[in-house]
Parts: sequence; C-alpha cells; structure tokens
Amino acid sequence: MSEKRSDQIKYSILKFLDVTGFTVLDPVIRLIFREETDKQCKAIGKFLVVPILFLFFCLTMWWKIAPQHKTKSGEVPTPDKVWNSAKINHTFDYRETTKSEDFIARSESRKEILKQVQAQIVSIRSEAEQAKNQVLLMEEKFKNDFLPSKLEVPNTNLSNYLTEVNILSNRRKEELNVLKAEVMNGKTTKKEFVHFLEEQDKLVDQEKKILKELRSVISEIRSQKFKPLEKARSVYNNLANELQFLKKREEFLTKSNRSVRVQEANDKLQLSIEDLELATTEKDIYLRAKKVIRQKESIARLEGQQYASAVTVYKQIKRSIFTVLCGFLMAAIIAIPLGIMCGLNKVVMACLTPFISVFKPVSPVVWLLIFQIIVGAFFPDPETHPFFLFFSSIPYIGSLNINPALVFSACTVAICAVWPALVNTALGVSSIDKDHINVARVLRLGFKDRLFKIIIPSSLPYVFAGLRISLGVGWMVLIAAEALSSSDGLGKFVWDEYQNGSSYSFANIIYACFVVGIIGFCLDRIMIVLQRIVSFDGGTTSV
Amino acid sequence: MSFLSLENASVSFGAGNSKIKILSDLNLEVKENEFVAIIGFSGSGKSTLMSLLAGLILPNSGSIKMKGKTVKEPGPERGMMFQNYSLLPWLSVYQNIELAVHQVFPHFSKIEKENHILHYLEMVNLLPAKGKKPHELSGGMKQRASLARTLAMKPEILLLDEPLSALDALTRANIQDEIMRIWQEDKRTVVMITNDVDEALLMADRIIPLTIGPEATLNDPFIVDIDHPRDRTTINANRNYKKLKVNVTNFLINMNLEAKKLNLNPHIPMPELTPDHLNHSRSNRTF
Repeated sequence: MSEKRSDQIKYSILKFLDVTGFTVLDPVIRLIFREETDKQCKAIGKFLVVPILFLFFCLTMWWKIAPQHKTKSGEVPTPDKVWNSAKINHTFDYRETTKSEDFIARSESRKEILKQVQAQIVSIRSEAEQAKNQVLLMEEKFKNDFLPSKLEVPNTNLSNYLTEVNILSNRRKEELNVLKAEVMNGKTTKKEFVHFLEEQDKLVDQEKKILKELRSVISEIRSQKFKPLEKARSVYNNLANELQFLKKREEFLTKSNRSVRVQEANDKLQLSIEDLELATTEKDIYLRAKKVIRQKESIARLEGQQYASAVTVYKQIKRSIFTVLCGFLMAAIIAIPLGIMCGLNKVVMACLTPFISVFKPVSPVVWLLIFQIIVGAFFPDPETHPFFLFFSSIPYIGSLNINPALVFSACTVAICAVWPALVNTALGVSSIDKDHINVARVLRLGFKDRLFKIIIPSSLPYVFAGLRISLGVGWMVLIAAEALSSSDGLGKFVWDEYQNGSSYSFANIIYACFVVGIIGFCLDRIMIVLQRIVSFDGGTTSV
Repeated sequence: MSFLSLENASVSFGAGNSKIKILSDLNLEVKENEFVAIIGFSGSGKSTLMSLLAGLILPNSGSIKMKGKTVKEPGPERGMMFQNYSLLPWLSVYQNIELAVHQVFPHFSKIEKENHILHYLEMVNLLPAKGKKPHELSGGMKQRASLARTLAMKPEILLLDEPLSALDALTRANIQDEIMRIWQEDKRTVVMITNDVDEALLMADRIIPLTIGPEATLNDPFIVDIDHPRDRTTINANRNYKKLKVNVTNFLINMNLEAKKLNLNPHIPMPELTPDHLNHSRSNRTF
C-alpha cells in the first residue's frame, strides 16, 4: 500500500514536470524513486550533466575572453563582476525598503529598531576602524615591501643604462669636436661628416627607445594591483557603506521619522493654540487663527507622507511586468474576438487582411512614437487626470507610479502583440474540424451554443499558442520601448546605465540582460502551462 | 407510406470540367421500423449517401423526404453516427452525450438527464470510462461512445455509417447484438452502411448494394427473410442465409469485375522517341 502511495507521488510529480515543460528533470525524479537506475543515470548524464558542463565551459570562455576586450566603458565584465552587480542591486533595494520602513515606524517599535541600529553602528564602527588600519598597513606594505622588491632590478637596470648613455654621449661629443676640427682642416670630407652625424642620430634614437622601454617596465610595475591592498580596500568600502546606511537609518528613526515629525508639529500646534487663547486684539486673533490652520494642514500632509525611495531594479522589474501584462491584456481583448470573427466570416477576414498585412511589419519604434503623441494628447495634465488618480488609489498598483509613459508603452506592446494572437485565433477558428461542425448541425445548436460549445473550445489551443507568441513579442517590444522613451522599467534601467558610464554600468547592463531573459522565460513557461492545460489532444507543445 | 425516401436524388461535387457526379438517380424507400443495410465497396460514395440521408448535404437534383416532408437540414430526429466518431475532444464521454441530450431534451430535469445519459453509457458498457476524454479511449471505445450519443438522442431513424469498422471481432459481435437488441426493443428505423456481408445478413431486413462510383446508384435489394431474433451461432446453418450469402457475394464480385472492365485504360499511343543521350556519346553533348 505504501509503495502504491509513493508511486502516486512519483507520477503526480512527473505529470507536473511534463505540464510545465521541465521534462529534463524527469530522470532525476525517477532515480529518486529507484526506477531503472541504470537507464536514469544514463539519461541524466546525457541530458543534464553534459548541458551543465557545456554551461560551465561557456562561463569559462566568457571569463577568459571578456577582459581582453577593452572598451570605452572599461573591460567587458566577467561573470563574477556581473554577479557582484546583481548583489549590489539587491543590497540597494534592501536598503531602500528598510529606510522606507524606518521612515514610517512609530512609537515602541521605532525605539526598539533604533536601539538595534545604534548597537550595530557601534560594532560596525569599530570594525570599520580596524579595516581602515588594515588598509593603511597594506598601503605601507605596498610602498615599502611590494614595490621596492619588484622595482629593484628594473631600477638598477635603468640607472646602469643611464650612466652608460651618459658616458657614450660624452664620448660622442668629443668625437664630434675632433671631426669638426678635421673638417675645417680638410682631413675629412664634408660628405663623411654628414654621414657621421646621421650615424650619431641613429644611435641617439636607439638609446631613447631603450630608455623608454625600461621606464615603461617600471611604470607597469607601479600600476600593478597589490591584491591584499585591493581586498582590504573593498572590505573597508563595504563597511563604510554599511556604516553610512546605518547612520541614515538612525536619522530616519529619529529626527526624520514621520511620527517624530508629526509629534513635533503637534507640539507646535499646541503652543499656537495656547497663543491663540491668549490673543486679545482683533488682528492677533486673526493671524494666530490662520497660523493654527496652516499648521493643521501641514500635519495632515506630514501624516500622508511616504519615503521617497530611489528607483531600484526590482521596482523597475515590477513595473515592466505590470506594463507588459496590461499591454498583453489589451492585445488579447482585441485579438480574440476579432480573430473569431475573422475565422467565422470570410468577409470580415477580407476586410481585415489589408490592415493585418500592412501594420504587422511596422516597427515597434514607430508605434511608440505614434502612441506617445496620441496618449500625450489624451492626458494634457496627467497629475490631476481622473484616470491616473483612479489607478494611484488602488493599493498595490498605485505604488507603481502609473503615468502616461506607462500607458503608451502598454499601447505599443498591445499593438505589436495583437497580430500573432489575431492571426492564430482566426486560423484556429477557420480550421475547426468539419465533423465537429456536422455534430453541431445535427444537434441544431444555435449560434451562441455553436460558438461557445464547439468553436471556441476547439480553437483554444491555437488561441493560446498565439497568445504565447504575443506575450513573447510584447516583452521584447516593451524593453525597447522603455529604453527609447525613458518610461520607467527595465528598459530604462538599461538605458540609464548606458548613459551613466560608471564603473559598474557595463556589468549592470549585462545583469539586466539576464534579468530580462529570465523573466521572459518565466512568462513563456506560464503560457506553456496554460496552453498545455487547454490542449485536449494530450499532445506536446514545442518548448 | 414510406418513412424515409429518396426520389431520383443525385449528388455531384465540383463545378465545370471538374464536376464529378458521385451518386446518380438514387431511389430508396425505407419503411418504418425497417432495418436496411447498404453494402458497397469503399470509395463508392457510401458516406456521401449517408450525409445525404442525414441532410448534411442536399441533393443537386431529385429529393429526399422523411414522412412525406422534404428534408432541408440535418436534425436530431435523424440520428447520425459518424464514421470517424466525431466526439468533441475537449469534452469527456459523459459531457459529449450531455451536450446532445441537453439540446434534444431541454425539458429534462437534472436527475432525468443524468439517468438518461447513464442508461445509454451502461448500454454500451462505457460507465467506467465516462469521465475520460476521447483521446484517452481506444478506437472501439470511441465508437461505442459515439453510438451512445446517437442513441441518447432517441432519433426516429438511426443512420449508422460503418459503425463497427474500427472494432475487433469480439467487440464487434457484442455491439452488433446490442444494436439489434435496441432495434428490437424500441422498434426504430435503421439505415446502416457496411462493407461486411455477414454483418448485413445478420442484422438487416433488406440489403441494398451500391454500385461502384462515380455515378454510383442503388441496385435491386436482396430481401433477407429470416425471422428475428437471429442467433449468430445457428444462423450459419440456415438454408436461406447460405443462399443469400452466395448471391450477395457473387453480385459484389461481378460488380467489381464489371467495374474493372469499364475502367480498363484504353491504349494510349506513345510517341516514338528515344532519349537523346542514347544516340550521342557524352563528349559530343553540348548544352
């Protein structure tokens, strides 16, 4: 009985892997359940180990080749640098969220957090102190031990050569003087004198060249990185950053904290009210009453205030996903009914074909510009437009900063994503099995029943195949659109990094490349699962 | 009065030069409660004939009448069982039948509907598979599900288009018995298409051969005057059965021979040409 149960678990896991398209892991699961171990091991070797080895091979190649190509933005980053930039982005996001939490912390919890933070500051400060000493130590070592030991040979080489050159040039000067005299005497011809001078110039050039080489060896050694020093510096930098962050937290927990500021404002208000009570003259009453009103207003504003967090990559990701889903939804809402109409009625198809053929190949960039103009005209004053006010009032979505840029990005996504879904839906509806139509005819199904019980279910696999392509296209288009229009999102993140040109920019761009790819992959997987669920013939979907 | 009748009906596909007359001058009279088998070679237009009887296609000339009224569209009173099952693949067996029952008997209450469906599922022995999707079923099970759906519509006339073609011999015999039982129990009119002489002889009151197409037509019927119910184990010894079997088989064989004679290709004169490269050596060839 227990064996049967484990079989059930096994088959439900295998089914799940099959539906999600992770059939690669199939043999691993089977191996865990001890089913034909030899066969599974072979399968794992072929389809799991070899690809992983290949992946490592590619990573190593990247590691080796990347630093050799020098660009304006520095070396092409190696995998570790990209990983590092991922970590930096993560820490940045963590710090921003912590700060925004600190900002709104109140009363007891605020005090508690403050205590912790202050304790951390003390410990980190001492650590930072140590790290700084370490850096100084290492700098010393670099100057006194590392450099001299490496420079000893080249330096002596250089000085030796310099003295040599000195002697040689003195000798040449003497020769020159002798020859000058000889030329005057006529012992040597003028032609020979010219020849002599040429020879001398050549020798001087050669000496200069050798000197330059010797000097470059020295400067190269000087610019060499001393690993322990680098490490100490990075440790110190990290600690210093952490310390700065903690100090900022302390600030947000004390004088910049919302509840603290509200408290202060309330105290002031209390004083003003007391003042108002004491006022006697008409003018004083009026002015003090006004002051009370002003202070009340400012308190209300304070209470609604949120921490103005910097835009982190995670926020950009959320916004991009939200935008692509909006655009995708718009595309689906347009494409599916139109596609069904096209598939059902040849006249509709004939009417729409020219539009599909002409607009399908239009570049997303052109659509972006068109929508930017159109959407801009719809919302002349976006800050107060009811459409955006409505979206800002929705709890989660409101934090994504809905603005016209998001609307036209979504529209661009929609118009580019609409075509595959439309064409596929039309194809699905028009290629419905004739036998199924005959069944509907024999049963005398009405139009509504025919549509919802026969036509739509039978074309669903096509529809979802189209939607899957649409979502993929939409995601690609969106990133380009965001980069071009500086609408917040991953595309803008990439564009900003490109414009930034800091030492991390290139690594950040490659990091973003992976993020975009992985999210696109996840979206596609979700669509595959949906497609598999609606496909009734139990057939497989291409991955 | 005949229940279902064809009067000089003909069907052709295509237009202009490529127009092919599939069926021509069909005359058929089916009496109420009669079991008629139409027998013919594959490709002779049997399925087209069935579609014609169902009303899925209309005759180009002549007419088709049911109970004296001209048939203009398909409907559930002529229950058609399709040759390739036509089960809707996204619905389970139960739901497939439910769709038909819901449409034909809209006044049924929920329980009535369920009982009705389960009754027919039981009849074709598909109760254990009622929740399965068609792609999970074997060919025979699909055929039985299709039969159950057709029967559940309680049609006045059953049109069976090679209903047993995809079944193994054993299941085939079972379903044959089943169909005969149903036919006898609540006497219905049945038109069945088949290419199996034994099957036709076992089940039908009349066997009508369809000549080989194009321009296929119905030939004179063979009357099977053996009393119902017939027992497949003893019928082989029946004198009438033997005689009829010989007659029908001979008729079919002769028809086939005639068709072959008709279709003999006339001699096509070949041009007197020999390939170029046989006359000239390779080196002389120029392009």
